[in-house]
Parts: sequence; structure tokens; C-alpha cells
Amino acid sequence: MRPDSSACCSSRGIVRALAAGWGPLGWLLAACLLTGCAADESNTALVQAPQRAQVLLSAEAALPDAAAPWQQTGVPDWRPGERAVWYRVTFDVPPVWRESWAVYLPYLYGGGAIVLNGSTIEHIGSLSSGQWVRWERPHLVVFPDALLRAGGNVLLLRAEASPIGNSPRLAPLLIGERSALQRAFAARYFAVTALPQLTAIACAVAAVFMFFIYWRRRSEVLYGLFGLAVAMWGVRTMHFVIEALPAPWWPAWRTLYFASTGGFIVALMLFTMRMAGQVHRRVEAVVLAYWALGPLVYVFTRSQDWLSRVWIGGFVPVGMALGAFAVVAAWRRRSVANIALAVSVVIGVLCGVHDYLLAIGSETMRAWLPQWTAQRLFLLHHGANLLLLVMGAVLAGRFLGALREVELANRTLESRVAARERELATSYRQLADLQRAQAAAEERALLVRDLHDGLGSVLFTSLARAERGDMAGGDVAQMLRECIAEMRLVFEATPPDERDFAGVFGSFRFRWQQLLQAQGIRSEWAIELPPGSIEMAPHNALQVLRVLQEALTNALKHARATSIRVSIARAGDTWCLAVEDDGDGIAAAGDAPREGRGIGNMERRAQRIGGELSVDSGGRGTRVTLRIPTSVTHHAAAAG
Amino acid sequence: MTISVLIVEDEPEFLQRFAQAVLGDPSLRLLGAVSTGAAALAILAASAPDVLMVDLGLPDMNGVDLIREAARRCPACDAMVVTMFGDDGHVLSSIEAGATGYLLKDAMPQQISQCIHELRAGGSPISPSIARRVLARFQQRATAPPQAPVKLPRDEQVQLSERETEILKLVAKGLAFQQVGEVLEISQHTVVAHVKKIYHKLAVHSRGEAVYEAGQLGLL
Repeated sequence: MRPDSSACCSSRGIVRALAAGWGPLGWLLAACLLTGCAADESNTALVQAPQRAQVLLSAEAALPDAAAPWQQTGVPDWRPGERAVWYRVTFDVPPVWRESWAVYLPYLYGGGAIVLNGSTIEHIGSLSSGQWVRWERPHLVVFPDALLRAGGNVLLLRAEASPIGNSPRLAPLLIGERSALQRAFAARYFAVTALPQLTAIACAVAAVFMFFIYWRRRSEVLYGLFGLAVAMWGVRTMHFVIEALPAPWWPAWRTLYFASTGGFIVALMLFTMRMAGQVHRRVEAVVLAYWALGPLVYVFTRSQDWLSRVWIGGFVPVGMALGAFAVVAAWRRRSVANIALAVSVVIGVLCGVHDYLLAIGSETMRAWLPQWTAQRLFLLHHGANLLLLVMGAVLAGRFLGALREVELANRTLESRVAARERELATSYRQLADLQRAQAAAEERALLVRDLHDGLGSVLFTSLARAERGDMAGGDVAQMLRECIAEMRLVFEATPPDERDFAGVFGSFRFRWQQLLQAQGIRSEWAIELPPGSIEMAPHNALQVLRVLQEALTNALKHARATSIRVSIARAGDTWCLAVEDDGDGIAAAGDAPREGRGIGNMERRAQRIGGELSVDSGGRGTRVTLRIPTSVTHHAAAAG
Repeated sequence: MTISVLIVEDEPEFLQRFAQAVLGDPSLRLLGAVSTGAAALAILAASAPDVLMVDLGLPDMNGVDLIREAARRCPACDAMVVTMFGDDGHVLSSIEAGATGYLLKDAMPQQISQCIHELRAGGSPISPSIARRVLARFQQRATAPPQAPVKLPRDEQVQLSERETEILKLVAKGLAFQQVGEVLEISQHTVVAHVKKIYHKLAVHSRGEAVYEAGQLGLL
């Protein structure tokens, strides 16, 4: 049976131990535990945290007895330099205990043995057993019930030297009921063993992934640096996972430890600087050289102490500068990523400095935080993990941002292209409409002028003559036939389905051939006009046909020809259209001046389409030749 | 043997002019000279003229429909459409409806009777623009996708022969029948006979097309 006061004291012991071991997190845990205690006081277990112990500086493996020269000492106890020492701790056990008792050792770096009341209950491998050890793990050793006595008990602890110095030989141990110690043990086990295992695996995976990205995209240096940082951190963390090694491998393993520790810091620094857009080749070269220096010195001197104190210490200002740099960079460009990076770099640097001081066994730290220092909890495990997580998140954020930008750019580009296409289509349509409207207007103007010149002038002249009574019935019929011929000509020249002059000319020829035949005039047609050879706008075709019609009419009416020859031939860049007759020449017909035969009219028409007209006429026969440049006929919209 | 002629023309001047031309030729017999489609149909119901002369702009019906009806009732009758300029699209529609000739409205009386005789003798007139359109009609059919759901009878899947195509091409250039004949080394008479055959083909062709289109529309 245990008194109530003892229970209270015991739960305070847990709280203290946990709070000492876990800092803020520990306080949180302790708070939970306290509320738990308040709710369930009767279940509170017994835990003792011995503050005093005796030490025997003896490397002897044999169990020392009470008569040996034990010296009084405190817990924790620092014994640098000694090969192995014995500790003697006494504790009281109530007359009745509900469950097994145990001892919880936060660490026993060099290994050794645990002896309860004269019986060895645990052996932990040490340097002397032919291997190099560095036990990071905590120990929870259960006391066999048979060995435990009600009242006073003696616990002997043999602590071997650790290959890495500057740590207390005797950790702040706890003794009590096993279930009460389990939680503290589990918490520390997770922090120093399970977490590094998880970290090492996660780092390996992340590093492979990042290196792959960098391998495929060399320009993404940040991914490479991040991969390097993760890889370095993973390798370094492996030292907390692999605790025992064959002795010959130790130096190489240790070299790797220093290289990866320094490498992590260097990679971190390069990453942070590049992230802020700063590339200082000289600074980078100096830091890289400093990094290489450490492992080299270790290889040649095997001076662990120098490396841990001086070389790693040299990274402290580097880390400080890095933290300051990150803070300034975040201040200048206040983004979530920059601020998160700065905060985590500062936390990481603080953790690093803390761990550095802890690792070199800083006297100041011991004086200020004796309990905390004795727990030896390295914070960089958490700080670096946080930092790496933030770095990864920042990179992922950048990656997503880049994707978003690409998408945005694509969308912008697509919409711009689409808008441009729409604009172009619209302007093309407008242009086409405009051209159509203009062409229609021009065509209409030309046709109207033509009606005016042709049908109009005949009708008005005839009207004047008829009203003067100067027109016999035959004359009227003749005039009307001329008008109809005029209309036919217009229809022939402007077929809805044809732009080829050959087709247009076919209708003209067909009509005139019949007409000439009906008049008993021989006609010869020498037409070298392959289909498609002349494409002409309707009004131009009309001008050409009108000239020919005028010439034919002259031959029919005035020249009294018996034979007419019509020819179309190409001569170089010119189309030559000619009408020849064997009738009276213009010179011979004294009463019919040039104008009477409409030659001026024909010339004007020829000029309108960019051609020229020549009339060869002597006493006998007339030849009217119309020459049109081929360029005019090809460019259908010749100016009127 | 005289040729009986039925004239359908709504303008009295021209009705009289055409009637005079027919009456002036002893080898022609004027079966009737009417100014409406209904009157023409009534005469067609009673007797079959050798030549039907139709103006398209009738007051009571479309001349093209009258031609189609006449071609249906008396296949031996030659329908002749009266046109002002000889190149309007109505001439082609009339030929598709069954007309085998056309007459220019300003033709002289002698030309009118000559035209009737030629038509009866098996020759049809054709102008370059009509030749072009006929060619285009056949080419259009030839290039149309061959996916008729209604299988046309073999005789209705008409195509122009090579000779017929050649004739149309030469006419389209403006060559007179005589010149066409010279080029192809056949008589002028054979040329116009070919033209008549072409017109028949076009009519059959467009009937087939109508069947084809009705099939497309689900009417058959």
C-alpha cells in the first residue's frame, strides 16, 4: 500500500521528466497527463527519479561490492575520458506492488550492463565487444519480480565509454512501475529511433524523385538542390538508425556523417539563396570548399573533437547568415512561401545551434539548463524535417504556379488567337462585302452608261426623227431592230453563268453569222480563242462586242460588202480582234464621213478598256482592228 | 401532208403575226390560235397538233406546264417555245419539259414557217448559250454523288454521247450548224437531228431527275 502523498509526488516526477524531455510538446503532453491524473488519481503509478548516485571509476567487469571506493555524485553524471564506470543507485519499493518495476534509461550511448540487487539483468553491447556502438535508443529494463525487494534496493549500472564524447555517462534515469515508464520510453523511442527511420526512408524517396526531375530538367536547379539537401539529411539520419557497426567501418561511417551534415547545410544555403534569386558564385565556392575541408581533415587526422567543435561550429555563422538572409528576402518579397521558408530556416538554424551546443557539451548550456541538457534531445531532427517539408511545399507551390501560368498563357493565347481570327474574319467579310458592293456599283454604272450610249442614243435620235416626220415605217422597224440587237448584245455580253469571253463571243458570232447569211453575205470566222483564254468583266466584254458590232454594222449598212472576215488572234501581249470587208472603203464613200460610221465612238470604247483601234480603209475594203493588251483582259476590273 | 399548228400566245399582235405566218404557208395548217392555257388544253383534249407554239408568259398558267402536259398527252407533237432573246433560262426549262424547239419572238414570217418545217423534219435549233446550259446540266448530273436510293431504269440514266457533246461544244463556240457539220464531217441535217435527240435526252434526263428527287423526298 502506498500513501497518497507518494502518488502525488510520483505524478509530478513524470510531469517533470516529460516536460524536461519534450519542451513545449512535453508540456502539452504533461497537461494531458495531469488532467488524466486528476480524473483517475487511484491509478497513478509510482515513479522515482533518483537525484543522487554513487560512482566507481573502475573498468573492471566484475561486480563491485559496497566496500569499493564509491564516490557520491549527482544525476546526470558526466565522466569524460574514463573507459568504463560503475554507478550505484538505491531506491525504495513499497511492501506491495501491483505490477513489475522497471528502470528507464533515456540513453546509454556506450552500452554496458544493468545489475539489480547483485544480479545482472541486462547487457547492452559496448565498444569492448569488437564493434563500434553508439546507442541512440532509450532502454526500458524490467526488474524480475523475484529480484525486487520491498524496502531498499540497489541498482548497479555499468556505463562504457562512447566513441563520441561530451555526453553524460549517467542519464537522468527513472525507476518505477513499468506501465508508468512506458509512455516516456515510447515517446523517446519514437523521437530518437522511429522518427529517424521514417525520415531516412522519406528522404530516400524524395531525393530520388527530386534527382529525377533535375536529371530531366537541368534548368530546374532548385529541384536538384532540394534533392541534395534531402539526400544529405537522409544519410545523416541513417546514423541514428544504424547504431552498431563492425569496427573497421567506423571511420568511413563517421566521415560520411560529417560530409552529410555539412552537405545538408550547404545544400540548404544554396537552395535558400537561389530561391531568393541570388547567385553568388564566390560565396558558393567558399562554402563548398569549407564543406569539403571537414571530411578531408577527418580522413587524415581522425580528430572527431576538432571536427565537431570547430568545423561544425563554423557552420553556425553560416546558418545564422542564412537565417538572416531568408528573413530579409521574405521581408522584401512578402509571400507565403518566402515567409514560411524564412521561419523554418530560422527554426532550423536555432535547432542546429542548440544541437551543436548539446553535442559539444557546452558548459554554459549545462549551467543554464541542466535538466534539459541531460535529456539530450536533438531538435534538428524535427527542425530539419520541418524545413524540408516547407522546402518541398514551396517547390510544389512553384510547380503548381508554373502549371497555372502555362494554362493561363495557353488560355490567353487561345482567346487572343480566336479573337484575332474573329477580327480577321469580320474584316475579310467587310472587305468582301465592300468589294462586292463596289464591283456591283461600278458594273451598274458602266451598264447604265452603256445603255445611255447605245439604246438611249438610238431611241432619242429616232424619236427626234420620227417627230419631225422624217421616218418611214421601214425606218422605224429598222430602228427597233437595231434596238433589239442592242439589247441582245447586252444580254450576250452579260450572261449570268459565264465569264469566259469565248462563250460570250460564241453567242455574238452565232447571231451575226445568221444575220449575215440572211443578208447573203459570205462570212469567214478565224477565231483562235481557246476556252478560258480571255476572262473579262461583263462591261469590258460589252465594249469589245460593241466595237465588233459597230464594225459589222458598218460593213453591212454602208460598205455594201459581199464578204466579211472576222478574226481573233493573239500576238504576244496583245489580243487582236479584226473585222475586214470587201465593200466600199471610207475614202470612197464621200458622203459618209468618219463620224457617220461611228469610228470616233469605237475609238472611245477601245480606250475605255485600255485598247486601241485602227481603221485601214482605202477605196476598196475596210479593216477595223481592235488591240487589247492581255493584261487588261486578265485583270477583269479595268477602269471605265 | 400539211403540218397542223396550235399557237398559244397572249399578246394579240404576236398571236396574229404567228397566225399570219402559218396561214401564209400552204403546207401549214392552223389548228388553233388561242391566248390562254385553258383554251390550249381544251384543244389538246380534242385533237393532237403536229406543232405547238407556246409563249411562256400566259395569263392563266405557266407555259412550261402547258408544254409538259402537251408532251404527256401527245408525244408525237413538237412543242416550240417562243422566246424574246433565245438565251433565257425558260428555254432550258421548256426543253426539259419536252419542248424540242424555240422561236425568237422577232423572227420574220418566213423564218417562222422555216423553223416549223425544220422542226418537223427532225431538226432542232440551238443557240450557243442553250448549248452551254445543256452541257452544264449533263455535267452537273455526271458529277453528282451516285447515291440514288431509287434505282433509275437503265434508259433513264441518260448520258450524252461523245458526238453529242462535241456538237454542243462547237455550237457553244458560235459555229453555225453547217460549220459544225463540216468540222465533224456530217451533214447539217444530221447535226440538227442530233440536237433534237439531245433535247429528248435532256427531257428524259430531267424526268429521271424528278423521279430521283421524289425518291429523295420520300414521295415514291
